[in-house]
Amino acid sequence: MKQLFLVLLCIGCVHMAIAEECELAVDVADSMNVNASNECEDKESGLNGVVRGWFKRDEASSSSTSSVQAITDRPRGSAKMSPPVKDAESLAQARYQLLSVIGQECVQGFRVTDELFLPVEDALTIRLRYECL
Amino acid sequence: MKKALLPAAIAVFLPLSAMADVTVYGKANVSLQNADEGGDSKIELVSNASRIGIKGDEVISDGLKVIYQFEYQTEMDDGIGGNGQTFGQRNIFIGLQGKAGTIMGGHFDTPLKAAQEKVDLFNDLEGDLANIFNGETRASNIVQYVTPGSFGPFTATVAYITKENDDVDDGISASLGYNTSNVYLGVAMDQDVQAEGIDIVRAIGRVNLGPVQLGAMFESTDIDGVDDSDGFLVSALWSLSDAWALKAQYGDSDFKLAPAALDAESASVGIDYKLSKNAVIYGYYTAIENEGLAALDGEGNPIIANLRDDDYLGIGLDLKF
Repeated sequence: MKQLFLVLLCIGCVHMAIAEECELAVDVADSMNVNASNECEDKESGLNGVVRGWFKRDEASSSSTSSVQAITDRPRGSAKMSPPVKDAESLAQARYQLLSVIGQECVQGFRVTDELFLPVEDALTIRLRYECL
Repeated sequence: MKKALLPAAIAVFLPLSAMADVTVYGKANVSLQNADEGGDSKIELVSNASRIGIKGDEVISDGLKVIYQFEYQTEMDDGIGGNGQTFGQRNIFIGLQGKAGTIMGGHFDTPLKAAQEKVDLFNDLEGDLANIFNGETRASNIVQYVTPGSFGPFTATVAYITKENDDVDDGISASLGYNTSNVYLGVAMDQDVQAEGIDIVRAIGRVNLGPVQLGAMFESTDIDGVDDSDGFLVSALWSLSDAWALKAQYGDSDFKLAPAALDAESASVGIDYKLSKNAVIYGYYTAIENEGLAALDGEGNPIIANLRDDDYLGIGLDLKF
């Protein structure tokens, strides 16, 4: 019995070493865990891909039609967008704020997979696409 | 407005910026089961908490965001939920999340209910622990504080439930949890939540040892003027491979408030076959027995009788998205 327990414990350690499996959005919602950081980042596929495609297309068409293709072809992952800024200092600050917010969401770190600048009248918004580690 | 139109209406009226970070999610879970209830046997198709929801966040400033969730249950078997409506309200909230934690309000599971974590392996099925335990409350008019994610595996949650009635005591629910992928330990309490004068305490534990997950829960219910009553539940899940899993669960409690029973017992076994990460075919067998006060004899002594002696054998399909 003791040997069986040790074997299971060892297998458990191996499993612990392997990256944690992400949780589906419905399971995260069911757990009521508002701090969950391991939700699956598959928001660009399936139903979510379609819904996001609608709104992003609408969003993009209000600024420029040429950016539609670029936006719909973005790689997988989540994204955060800054408010419009008008000077270099504000732009750097906005980028830092986005990285800080992402850092709070991805407690184990993250990688920025895409950086996009969108002109809005005489200002710029910055959008960072990222994946939690 | 019909509730059936609510999700679409919400989507229309949410600002575009909020929709940009929205996630649509849900699950369709239907099973075909043979229900042997009170000696009568029938085949029935049941929808097991099938739902659709949207959730997301809106960044306000550095380290501060608004979070929201709207979730509705739909009955896939006959299309009719509570009060004859297509959609029934599940966990719904809006809140502010920052470095100091999250404050949120709405209609959602109390910390005591949420503290069960993954220990109930037959959640939403006939073997759901809600059939034998008190405290499975989804509260209305609830305001809750949750400690921030920066606390690591530790999470404390405190909720205040207003009854919106000056003559009735408001409720308090709280939980403290330690959660990693392999170990979960939690304690939780309700005071005047289920009803005034009813206090509940829970302790929960889960450990994953390789392919085996073991879970246990203990609960004590204290009702003013009545002796304390206790209950426990144990569960085990064995992942035979990436696709197959066996599971078993047993629970027993002294006192169940609604529907009332002096003694409630539930035993379930099941098997899951994972078709993909999102889709599972499952089979289950559940037996539930409840004993309660049937009548008083001529000398005023209680006559205890079986209120429920039911068996369920079923097969189902669960798709999450």
